[in-house]
Amino acid sequence: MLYKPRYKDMHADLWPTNYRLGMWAWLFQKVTGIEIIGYGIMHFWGISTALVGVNGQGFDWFAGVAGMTAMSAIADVVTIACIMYHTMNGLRVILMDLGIGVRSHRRIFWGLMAIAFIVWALAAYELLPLIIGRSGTI
Amino acid sequence: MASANKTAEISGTTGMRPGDWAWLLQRVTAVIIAIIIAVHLWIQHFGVPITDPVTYQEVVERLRNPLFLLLDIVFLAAGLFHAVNGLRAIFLDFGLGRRGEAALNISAVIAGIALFGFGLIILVPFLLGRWPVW
Repeated sequence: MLYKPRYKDMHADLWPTNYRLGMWAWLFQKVTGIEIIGYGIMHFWGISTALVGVNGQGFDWFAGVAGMTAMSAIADVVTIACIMYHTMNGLRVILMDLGIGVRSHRRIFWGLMAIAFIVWALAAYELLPLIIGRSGTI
Repeated sequence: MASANKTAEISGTTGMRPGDWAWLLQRVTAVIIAIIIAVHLWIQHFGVPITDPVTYQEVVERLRNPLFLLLDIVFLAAGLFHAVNGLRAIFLDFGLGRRGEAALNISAVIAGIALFGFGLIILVPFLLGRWPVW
């Protein structure tokens, strides 16, 4: 009987159920980085409306109408979550590079995640008035 | 003997190759961005009542201050380096081979410089002291 390896066994290192904390942290660092780049492109696209019309008519339309929809506030809330994760995990990476707290890296990770969650929750609470009772489209 | 010399060179920046600089600058720009993004969010988005939309006039007034201009230029440069180098790191993780990595590195440098120039266009009137009047 020929042994037929399953995909799970062939790529054991890359199978998500075999990931440990550091691997998830690394993966989410990439995912949140890409999300922040996507938000940055949208943000620059939006503020570049300053070049449309005279005396910033395009900008005032964008900031006052498009920038005040529930959709853009939801994008802000998601992006602040990504920024806080990326910053706090990045801080952990720098600490590990400096050789600080390598043995307690798990506790440091969860401590930094607690800070990230608190800052995100405060920002999300501030942004709530822009989400509740507003339509999702322009 | 040669390896002993190599070990001695680890301290300081002598003998650092471009990839080592990219690694170091990724950390340096990370710290710069973390500080500037906090200032940026606080002043430009949370400093005023959040339900009031920001106006073009307010932005132009703010950019008349050379300090804010400098802050935005540093933010642009550091953010672009961090973003382009971060994407480069993601592509490198897939294993591209020597030629692929060389092409990736050249593309990253070109993209970074081009996007920096592109971003600078909007700030040129302010840099020249001829901000748009309303």
